Amino acid sequence: MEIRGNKIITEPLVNPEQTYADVNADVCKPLESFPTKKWWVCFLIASGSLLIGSALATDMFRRGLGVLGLNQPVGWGVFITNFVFWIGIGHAGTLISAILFLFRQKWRTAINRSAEAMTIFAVMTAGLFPVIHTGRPWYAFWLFPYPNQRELWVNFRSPLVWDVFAVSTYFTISLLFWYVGLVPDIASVRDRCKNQIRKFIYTVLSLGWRGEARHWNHYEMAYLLLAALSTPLVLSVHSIVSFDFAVSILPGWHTTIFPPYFVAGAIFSGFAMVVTLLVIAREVFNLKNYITLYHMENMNKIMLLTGMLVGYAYLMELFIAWYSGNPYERFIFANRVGGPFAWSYWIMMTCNVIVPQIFWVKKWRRSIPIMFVASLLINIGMWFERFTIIVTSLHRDFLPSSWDYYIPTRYDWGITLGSFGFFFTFFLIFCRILPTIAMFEVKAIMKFGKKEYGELGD
Amino acid sequence: MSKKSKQKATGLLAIFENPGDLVNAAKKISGRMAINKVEAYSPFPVHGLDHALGLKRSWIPWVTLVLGLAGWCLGFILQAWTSAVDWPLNVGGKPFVSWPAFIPVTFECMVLIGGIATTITLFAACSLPRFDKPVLDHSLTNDRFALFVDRTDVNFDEKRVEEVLKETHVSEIKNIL
Amino acid sequence: MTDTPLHNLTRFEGSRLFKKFLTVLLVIGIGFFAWEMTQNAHRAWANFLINYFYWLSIALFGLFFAALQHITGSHWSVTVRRVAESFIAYLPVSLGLFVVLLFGLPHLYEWTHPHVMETDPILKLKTGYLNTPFFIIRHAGLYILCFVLGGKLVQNSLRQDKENNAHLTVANSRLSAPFLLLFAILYTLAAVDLMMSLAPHWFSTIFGVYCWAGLMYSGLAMLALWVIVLRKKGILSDWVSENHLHDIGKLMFAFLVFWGYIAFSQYMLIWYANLPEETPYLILRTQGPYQPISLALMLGKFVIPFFLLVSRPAKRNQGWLAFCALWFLIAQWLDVYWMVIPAFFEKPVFGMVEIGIFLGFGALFLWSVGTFLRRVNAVAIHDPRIKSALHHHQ
Repeated sequence: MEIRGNKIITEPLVNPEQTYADVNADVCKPLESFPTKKWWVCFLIASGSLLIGSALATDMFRRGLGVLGLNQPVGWGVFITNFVFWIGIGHAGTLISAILFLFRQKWRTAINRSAEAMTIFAVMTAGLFPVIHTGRPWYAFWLFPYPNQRELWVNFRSPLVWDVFAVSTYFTISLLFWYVGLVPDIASVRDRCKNQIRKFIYTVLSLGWRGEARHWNHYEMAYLLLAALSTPLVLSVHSIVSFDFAVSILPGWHTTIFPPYFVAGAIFSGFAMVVTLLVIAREVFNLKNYITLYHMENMNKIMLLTGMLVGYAYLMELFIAWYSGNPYERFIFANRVGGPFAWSYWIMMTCNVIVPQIFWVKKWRRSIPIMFVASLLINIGMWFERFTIIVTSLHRDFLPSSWDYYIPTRYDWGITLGSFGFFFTFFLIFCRILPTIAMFEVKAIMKFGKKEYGELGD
Repeated sequence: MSKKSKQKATGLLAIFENPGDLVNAAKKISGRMAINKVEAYSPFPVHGLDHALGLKRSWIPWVTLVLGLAGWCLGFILQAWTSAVDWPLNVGGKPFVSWPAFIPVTFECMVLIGGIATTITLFAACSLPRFDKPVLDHSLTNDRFALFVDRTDVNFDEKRVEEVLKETHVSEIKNIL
Repeated sequence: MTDTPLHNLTRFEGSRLFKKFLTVLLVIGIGFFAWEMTQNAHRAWANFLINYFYWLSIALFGLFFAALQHITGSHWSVTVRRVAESFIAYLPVSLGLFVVLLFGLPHLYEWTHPHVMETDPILKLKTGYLNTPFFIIRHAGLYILCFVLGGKLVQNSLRQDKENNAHLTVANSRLSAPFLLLFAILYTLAAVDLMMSLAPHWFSTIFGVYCWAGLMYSGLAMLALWVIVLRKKGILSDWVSENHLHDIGKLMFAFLVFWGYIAFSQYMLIWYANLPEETPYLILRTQGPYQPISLALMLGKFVIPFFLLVSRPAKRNQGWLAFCALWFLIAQWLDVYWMVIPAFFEKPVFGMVEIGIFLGFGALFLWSVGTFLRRVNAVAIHDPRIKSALHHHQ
């Protein structure tokens, strides 16, 4: 905040010298030119990782799940960690596109498109894991309630079925929301096309959008409604993921704060991923006029906030575990903090609670290298949060004779690497074929050309 | 055939550089001159334009509300019927209709059906997809704003319209034939 | 058009009749409390606790809201922020009531009796936390936070009315961060102490969030009510438009849904796991004589107001919004009742005592806030964001 006289000067969201035409030209540029060397390097690494992951997954299906590190008593490990991690990553996209929209946070416009794309790809990545984890993915359709010869239905009291509904609804609605947001921009791309084949493709995708006033009228309303539906949806999805654990009676899993705590954690990790991606994207695609330090700073503020929310949940869990007086609760948390997996707990604590504290300092909030490193650390921390929750609650169960240590194998790690490859492959392709910034929304918040606004005649 | 000729609307296309000018022109043409067959084009939603053109608030919320509630009911009925009627199964001693356990899926069904309905309604209300209407000017999805005045309107008077348009900050007037 | 409607800003002045009315309510409240003390001290103290927590939460909301608006740099809320800030005026009164409450601790909390703590194997483990001195320290911490940081926040805001200094806004946004951080911890502890420890064996990690959801729920309703009253009196009519009311209405709606979400999460998880150390709390409240109360809570605090407030016109119509705000306030009272009363009685008790004590506390709240608003401007007139707040559209 800068003060001049008795006025607070707010930073411009878009470089004030930009014109409307500049927005289209800058944003569409990567779509209309041959990919750069930087892009190819990224793409080859991503698709290479995907290939490794797919090969290992195929081999795993052939041999069976025994190749993983899972055994008694740790039956859920890296794969479920990945599932929760990727679902969480998706949440920032919906938060930016829907919740910040409802709160009229105008700075969201520059980043919402890429964040929404991230949501969709993250949910797709997440969706792979429960399916892979069954070991027999060709039976995945059994997850859905469909009329069948055995007249059997899925068990609707099971949180795993809730997951199926939550994740597929989340994917569908995010995709629709994203597509609705894209239509006017695809029309912009269409009107710039010189190549006939490109023009045809973008014409079909744009549905023939022409920006008529009465269409905008419905459009804005529908967008608002989708935002209003997505907001509780995003809360519900990670809450339901948390129910997978919390409806059980396992100490460390069964605790009532899980739903809001998981949602906060999801937003936290998602924002870290957005920062990671945008630091790279604004460099590679030269979007610094639109994704300014102000945007990055705001995201860091949200990370600071959500980091403290998860910190609150960590402390609350510890406090109530002690307060409960329940020896099992007390043991599981003592085991987390000081047991064989204490390293994982302290990675989580350090990365999620301590690291974001650097964002109290304005200078560090606005430093690209610092936020990049912090965002990577937070992503690591959030992965280990899920790992800690899952593994430390399982590896020392009620029967001390079955206590064991969990060591993931190269299949666990390789397929995890593959999931990153899967995600980044999609993301890189997206950057090439669709506008990464919501052009029409950016124009709507630009000061340019609106000098007479608010004092219209008649 | 008659439908085709209806689509080929002809008239004047006034192009502006500034959203405020578009709103002013729309007020004059649609309000003062009472020409109803007017359409405005803009690369982004311009506030005040709905009012200037006399557009009402969109009715889509009603569809969302009704179908969202329908989705809610449908989701609950699906679960109650499969778990308590079609094949009642005791799971963990929970009641057949365990409503607290049914809420999550019920909620997801509401959002899913409400959201899909909203999207479909949006495109239906805009009669999209539709590819036979011409793109009047390539800059209208980029950096310029336009007002199209239809020649078939009862109050259309080419000279008068042009005069009124020239009072505004119009940058170009195209005759669409 | 670009000037603020300063010339019109008058001070709030409650009518003489209203002041007499508040005095009567206060007397009624004290009377009922004193009378019930001779009849059934448990009931008297239970009601005292309900209202102590209920009105304290509303007063705390005022500071929380102000700090939240500062830290987010909100524009729309500038014209209603002072009304929220004025809720701080009840906190000194509340502190006095806390001193009174200390006399009721033995009636309210099992853990204040040493022989219970020594004989119960589980409660024995909690002695380090559940003891009277530490209880007082924790709660005093909340008051200190509110008077020191919260007081500074309000003081800066009032100073700005005279000094016209934008730096005070910056100072307040800096103050807000530590305030909110400490508030989250101390309010959670207050919720655990005052409400959760009524059933000292029971525990729920979400409980602090649950009570905070209630705080926002009732606080926003109280804010809406005051704003509407001040608008009706003509004090805020130039400052607060339908768009501002709409925003308050939207927040009320959002926290209605949020409360539903948190309440469902807590209920469903305990219901599902059905563990003997957690579930009795809910069995007591959702089955048997208290079942109607639970149902009324679900319908009255979530389902019905959801439909009352879901539409756009509902949030923009002053009269309707005031009705909804009253509804919210009653629903929140029922929620606190639901947490407290089943700890003492086998069957729900409700009568003139409950109403009387509620009204007595309410009179104190209205009196303190009203007195405060009589002495200060009802709007932060020199806030640097005031102009943009006045031009607030959707």
